[in-house]
Amino acid sequence: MLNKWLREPLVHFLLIGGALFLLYGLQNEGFVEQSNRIVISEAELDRLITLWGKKRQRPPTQFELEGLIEQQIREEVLYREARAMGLDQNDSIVRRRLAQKVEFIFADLVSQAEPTDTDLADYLATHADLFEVPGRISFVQVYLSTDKRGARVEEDASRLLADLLKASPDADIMMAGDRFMFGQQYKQQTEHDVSRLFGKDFANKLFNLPVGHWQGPVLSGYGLHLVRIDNKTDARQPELDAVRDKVHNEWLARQRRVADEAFYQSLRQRYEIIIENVKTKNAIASVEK
Amino acid sequence: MPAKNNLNMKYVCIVFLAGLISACDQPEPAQPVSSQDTTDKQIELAPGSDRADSTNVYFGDTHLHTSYSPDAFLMGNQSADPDTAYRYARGYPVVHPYHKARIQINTPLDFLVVSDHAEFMGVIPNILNDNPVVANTKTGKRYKKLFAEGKSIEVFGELIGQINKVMPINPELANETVSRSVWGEIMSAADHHNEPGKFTAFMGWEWSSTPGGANLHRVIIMREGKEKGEQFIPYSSLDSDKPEDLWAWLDNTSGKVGANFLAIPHNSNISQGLMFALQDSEGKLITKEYAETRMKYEPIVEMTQIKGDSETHPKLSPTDEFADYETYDHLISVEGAEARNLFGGGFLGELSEKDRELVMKNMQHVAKAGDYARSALKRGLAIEDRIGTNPYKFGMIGSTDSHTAMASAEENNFHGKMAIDSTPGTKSKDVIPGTPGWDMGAAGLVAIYAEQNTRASLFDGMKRKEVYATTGTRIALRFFGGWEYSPGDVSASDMVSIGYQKGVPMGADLSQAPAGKAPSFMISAIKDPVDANLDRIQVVKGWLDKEGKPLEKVFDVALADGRTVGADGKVALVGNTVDLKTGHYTNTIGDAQLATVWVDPEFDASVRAFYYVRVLQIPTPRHTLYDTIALGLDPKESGRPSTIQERAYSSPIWYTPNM
Repeated sequence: MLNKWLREPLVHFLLIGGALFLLYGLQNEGFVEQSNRIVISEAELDRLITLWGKKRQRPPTQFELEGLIEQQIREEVLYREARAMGLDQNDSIVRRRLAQKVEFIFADLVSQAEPTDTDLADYLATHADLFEVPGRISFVQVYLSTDKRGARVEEDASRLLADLLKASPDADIMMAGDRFMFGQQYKQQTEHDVSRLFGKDFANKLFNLPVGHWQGPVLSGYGLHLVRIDNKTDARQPELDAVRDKVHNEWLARQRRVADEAFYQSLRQRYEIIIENVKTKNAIASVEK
Repeated sequence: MPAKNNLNMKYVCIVFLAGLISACDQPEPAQPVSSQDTTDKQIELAPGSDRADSTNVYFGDTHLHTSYSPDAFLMGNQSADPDTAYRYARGYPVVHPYHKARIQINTPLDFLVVSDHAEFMGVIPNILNDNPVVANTKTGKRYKKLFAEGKSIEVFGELIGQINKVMPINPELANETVSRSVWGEIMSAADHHNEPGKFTAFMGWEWSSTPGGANLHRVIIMREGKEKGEQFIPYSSLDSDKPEDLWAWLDNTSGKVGANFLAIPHNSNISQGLMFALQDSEGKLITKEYAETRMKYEPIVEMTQIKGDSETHPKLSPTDEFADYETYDHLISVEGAEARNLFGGGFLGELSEKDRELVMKNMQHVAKAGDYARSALKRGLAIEDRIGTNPYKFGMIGSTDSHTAMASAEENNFHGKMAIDSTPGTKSKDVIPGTPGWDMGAAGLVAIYAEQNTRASLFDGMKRKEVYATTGTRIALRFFGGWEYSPGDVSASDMVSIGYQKGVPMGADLSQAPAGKAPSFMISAIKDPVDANLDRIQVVKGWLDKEGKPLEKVFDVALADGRTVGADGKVALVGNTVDLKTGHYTNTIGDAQLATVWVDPEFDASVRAFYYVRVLQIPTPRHTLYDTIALGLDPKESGRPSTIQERAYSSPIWYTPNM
């Protein structure tokens, strides 16, 4: 039980998130406390130089570096003055940006929770349609051209079907029927493969036919086809190992969505929310139910 | 004062030099072998691939815009993003960004390139979503106001003006941070939807060079995945509008990050003769070096799409009775009027009569030999005669260039060029001046022959030009050329193997003519299983006469319904079953399949030539017919034909005499 609790992402967030808030808070306190001193640290300098280098493919000259530093100082001075004047209050862009930053910090934390095999197996079992291995079919077809045979195409088809049923299984069917550009033999095709060549309706009909003997005719956009299905495998669930990466990604994505929402809800609970417009209030209330 | 005087020279490219220097000594980027190709490593070969033919045909769209393209966004697509684009292409239902109906493609695609404009990529949505980096600029604030007042078309006019280079580029709009993050999102969507063996999603973008309204646009496609794409920001026409600079950048970048690129020109039909010109961007006659560089990056051309068909023009091919197909003569230009006058006053109808005349006159495009694929292929032979390399030896593809995120090329399921021209009512209106939705065609598709449906395999198919174009239908077409095909080969069950054994496929070359022999061509076509029957197969031949003058001729080589070529060289029309009241047609005319082995009866082994195939369907309804039926109008009101003969164009096979 404790084990499960320890793996619960929400718990991770609250712990790590709490620590981070504390850390950020302390840092900011430090700034405010020493509002008349601006320190450009070694690390900050390195960051400025790297950024510059990335853009221009060379390090800055001494003159350029001085400019960079001065620019940085200028920004810091103005930033502190702006805060002192309370300009960060009630600015929709600042607000949105800060809210985004909290979300980003959060999103980074979620990825640290790793699923166990049981988690993945559960996910695979409950989201079967996402990971299904499609069924495959191997078949032979003999084509009868409506263009060539006109009104007698159906009669020809039933005569040819009777012949094929009488013939031995390894008889050469090469000469039977009419020329068909895609050929007679099709091996290990998915329903998607078959519909690419013959159209959706034909593929659907084919996958519902029994295996083993000549049958038909089955209609396609080209004309009539007599078919013999030699082999058919049903769609199945894959082993976890075969789709582990994909399940892993989907699991993480879902955990992140769930955790994001849980985190937000946990924060929201700490607030009393008053909506003064009655219409809106009712709408919100009904959502929360 | 004409807007052209506003052109500010200081914005003219500075990237050119940098690109040129690195282009000189850059080694050819190594072709990644498949074992290094991380994106394709999980491919499990389809067990069906032991069929005799090693190549299959895959259909897709290499040119599609989403809400991330500013013009798409401003023209009613504010919600259909790259993810929506992939979902639609793969056959999932999605919500249309303008009319909000739930729609679905009839036949899903095998691959897709989301190719949003690199110019101002993602900037407009970011302004509206209050991204401070762009929303807080002077321009950002002004645009927000225009939006709030419902004047988005005015913003569109300004962007086009900058791309036309008749207005200076506004540095507040070209923002690297925004472009980088949007490019990242586009690539993530592609990686997410790329499933080797099932569906391929390429990384790509559009370089939309439009100097003075001449369309020189190219779509750029990369063979590799996000890990390479992250190392650069897509090159845009704001960097330079000269194709030579684009190629230099591709050369430089492919060497630096180890990626492979293709650039695909499109809408040559409105390039004012510049897409396939005799000169380079500086006005100098094309050199061998130009030709070789161009062929390295531009082996294929998108020659049929929503904004018209660029095979040929009735004025250029007066004896070809099927030349006038989806002809489109409007420039994308705001030249001749201040952009703000043109777009700011609302629509064209509200302009003064004098301004209106001026704009319409400037938008009218007059067809030139440098605008169309067939004339370019002919021109290429003549240039090769002079310099030894053919700069216009390209394969042919189609794509949509839709801006709705819906790769819709189906006449009965067409969702507009722009999101706003997606309903019968709005398509009839002149929303973008001079270019009503009814002038657009529901086209086209790329067909690629490849071993499997993966980035590497499809990219290589395009590179070797084993591709063809269709106007939206999935006609399957095989085209082989050689010296030894016999009439029975095309009916053989191993026709495809014979094709590769005895000759070359579409996009390749013939030479070394055996004495006294003419080339034979094995051609087989089969209809789209859910579309109309075929009318005929034609071979289009272009060649140089003894004086080096390019000529062309169309041969009818396979005809449905038992028709034959008459003594006068003419063939009876196949007929037309379309009911103009209901929009229904029947497959009682035409054939499901057509095939032949054709030998050139006029072959001259001493002159250069090319051959490509055109397959015509029987007449079917144009998308406008469904609209006029819906609106209760006479079909003639659309100003366009009610029925059309959709078609496929193969890549050519070239013949070069021994020199």
